[in-house]
Amino acid sequence: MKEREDRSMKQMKKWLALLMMAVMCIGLMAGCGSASGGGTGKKETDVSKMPVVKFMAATAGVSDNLEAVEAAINKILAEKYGIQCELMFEGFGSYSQQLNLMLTSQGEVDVFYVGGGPSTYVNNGMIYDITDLWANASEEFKSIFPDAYIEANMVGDKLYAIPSNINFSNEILVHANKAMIDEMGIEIDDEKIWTLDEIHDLVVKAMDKYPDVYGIAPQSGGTLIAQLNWESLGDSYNIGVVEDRGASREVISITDCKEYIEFSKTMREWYQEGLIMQDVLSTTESWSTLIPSGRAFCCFDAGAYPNGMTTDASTYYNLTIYPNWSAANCAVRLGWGIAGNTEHPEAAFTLLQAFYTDSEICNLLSWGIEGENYVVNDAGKAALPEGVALDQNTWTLGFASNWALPNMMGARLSYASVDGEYDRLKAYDASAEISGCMGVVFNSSNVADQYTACINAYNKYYQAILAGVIDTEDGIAQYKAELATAGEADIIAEKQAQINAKYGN
Amino acid sequence: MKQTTKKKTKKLKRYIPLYFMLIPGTIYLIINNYIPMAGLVLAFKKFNYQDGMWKSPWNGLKNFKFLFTGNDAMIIIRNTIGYNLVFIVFGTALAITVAILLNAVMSQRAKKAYQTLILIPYLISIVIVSYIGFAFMSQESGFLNKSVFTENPIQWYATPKLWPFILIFIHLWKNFGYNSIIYYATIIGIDPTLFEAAEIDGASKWQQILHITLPSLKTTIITLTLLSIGRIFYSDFGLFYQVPMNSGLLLDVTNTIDTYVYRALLTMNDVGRSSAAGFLQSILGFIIVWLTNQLVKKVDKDNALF
Repeated sequence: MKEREDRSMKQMKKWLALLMMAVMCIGLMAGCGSASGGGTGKKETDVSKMPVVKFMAATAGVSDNLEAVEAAINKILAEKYGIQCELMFEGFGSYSQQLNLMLTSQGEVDVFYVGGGPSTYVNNGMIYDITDLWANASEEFKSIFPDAYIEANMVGDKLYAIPSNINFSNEILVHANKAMIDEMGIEIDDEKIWTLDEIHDLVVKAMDKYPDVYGIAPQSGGTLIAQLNWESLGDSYNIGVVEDRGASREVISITDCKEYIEFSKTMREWYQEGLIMQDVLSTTESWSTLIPSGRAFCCFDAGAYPNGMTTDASTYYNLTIYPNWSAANCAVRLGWGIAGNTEHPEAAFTLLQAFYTDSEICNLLSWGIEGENYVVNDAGKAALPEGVALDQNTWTLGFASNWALPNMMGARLSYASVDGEYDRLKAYDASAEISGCMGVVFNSSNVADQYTACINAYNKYYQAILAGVIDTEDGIAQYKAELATAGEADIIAEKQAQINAKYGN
Repeated sequence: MKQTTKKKTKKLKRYIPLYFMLIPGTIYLIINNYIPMAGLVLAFKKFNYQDGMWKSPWNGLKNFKFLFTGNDAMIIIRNTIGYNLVFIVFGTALAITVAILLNAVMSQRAKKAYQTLILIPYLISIVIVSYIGFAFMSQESGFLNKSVFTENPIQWYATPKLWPFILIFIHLWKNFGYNSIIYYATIIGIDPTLFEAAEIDGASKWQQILHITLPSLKTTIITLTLLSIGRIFYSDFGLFYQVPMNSGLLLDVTNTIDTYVYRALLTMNDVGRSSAAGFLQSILGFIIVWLTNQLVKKVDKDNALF
């Protein structure tokens, strides 16, 4: 009896083991499903023959209402343009990784958001040459941008990307805590240009009154201020720069740049006075949390927009220290391109054109479905529907990061915007000083080995010197020596050659 | 002869379920560990997304060059190997000590409590560890500058010479629990009669450790050490990137091959160069494991891994 029980127990164990193995085998395959569907309205015969363009963008917003928005856009696309689309949105953190993976296989993505200019994508063969397509584009599309901004997206004599329609100039300013200034009873003129001495006195006053508050917080984690008025040709590592907003077109080492040295010396004094957050290099907190919560008084911002347009005017005074200018790379910071391995480039370009010029589509992309995701208020602006808070809304691309769409200005304004914001932005750009090297965007592929070595030196010294954490003169001497051994001269020569290629010697 | 074949078939039949159970693991290994090896070819290619992996043009050894440009090559290789050697030596010593101490605890309840407690650091995410570190070492509000070094506050994140000690301390603190559990598992497997006999013969606790526990641990030590040596060109990315809060001034003592490659290629999207770095790390690691194993074989054949 007991033996029989034992045997059946053994049998059962065997079967269980087999079952488990089968389950594990199936589990292995779990990730292998193909994502079919997605494209809507495929049942109708005529629509099913239209090419489906896959559009991928980065966003800080929510895109849960994707099905409805995609269906609405596809309806317009089918009627007017004879194409269909499939929309994909990724968070900024994971976007570039996801994009790289998708670009390695054909048919995964056709139109995508290009960050930092097309040259890296061209080097790697990831992006399609759209020179001819642009030549045949509609006049409405072409008229959105000045030629210089389109040319900036060329590599050699071929065009690879269209810039996003945003502002093309920035100023350098100080965001200061409005509540603290008002409490101290200081009158602020935020229309004038402030000097560093005036900023210094203001911070000293604030720190006398609020000793437990950080005087100057970093612009972002580990960065006091990204850069000043030197032109780096879109190279965020600032290896080889042109002084005075690119005026001279002569590339020099950052360690010879007068503005870098002088500003660093001032910051060194401020740091030793305790005005700058002592942990500036190691903190990961940014001013946008520190200032509103009353833990910091102010911060620098090197990529700021016009007064009161992007920062909440009830929280900050924005004190301009250098008025706005358009850097050489201003037109390539955000742009749109077509995948190098796309199957239907014409359809992809048609989609891009529609996303820039069709205001109905622009509104759908920004604000979602009217009545469900937004309502139009009395001023004609997009507002949240009654009873729907921002965090409950199923489509917040426009509210969260409309600048990351092809043409935010094609859609209506947000309720939080000032009247005529886009006209003001255009006027602001028109008033900007233009970089002497406009349109030259550094392509590092010829000097990649030296460049990687220089990046290492940059990581060590650039911010430490600029934020005043280490002695300016010692720091610059060491930085200079390390850049020299890393091959900085080759990079300077390469940058100079790229400027000369566009502007002559 | 016939009988042995019959015996073999019978054996095979009996173990068929076991072989079946091997299938998922094997498939997993093939998909995740063997097929991707083909990607090593990228280290020698100028990778182009349009042409794909196989059609991209060959690039010789050019992808490897960036690792050796400038003065950094020496520093990153020194740091990677140096830290790993220290981690292996001190880590093993600490883990064995703790395992022996754990074995000496009599109360079962206390034993379980200690086992859980020493494992906790291992389970904490390295990002959280980096902020625990920051809570201690922040210049303005850190515990150390506020309570210990109140007279002469230290710029922790700007003083490179302190960081070898800090990193070694954090690594040991985080990992000793896990490793000691492995050694402890071996220790409780030692035949207790050996200890009883030694005690009757008048061996002291120290002598028992020296002559019974340590020799019994030898195989485990060799296996674990060989495994760590295989990864000697890799580094714990979180430890070297997150814990120093990516502070540039510390790079001379915190930069390893992994963090260097990460920083260098962050914006360049260069598949070829990153593959080259990975290729170098795994090949060099393999060579060193092989050499070490040969050495072990010479000294003590039974304990060699392969």
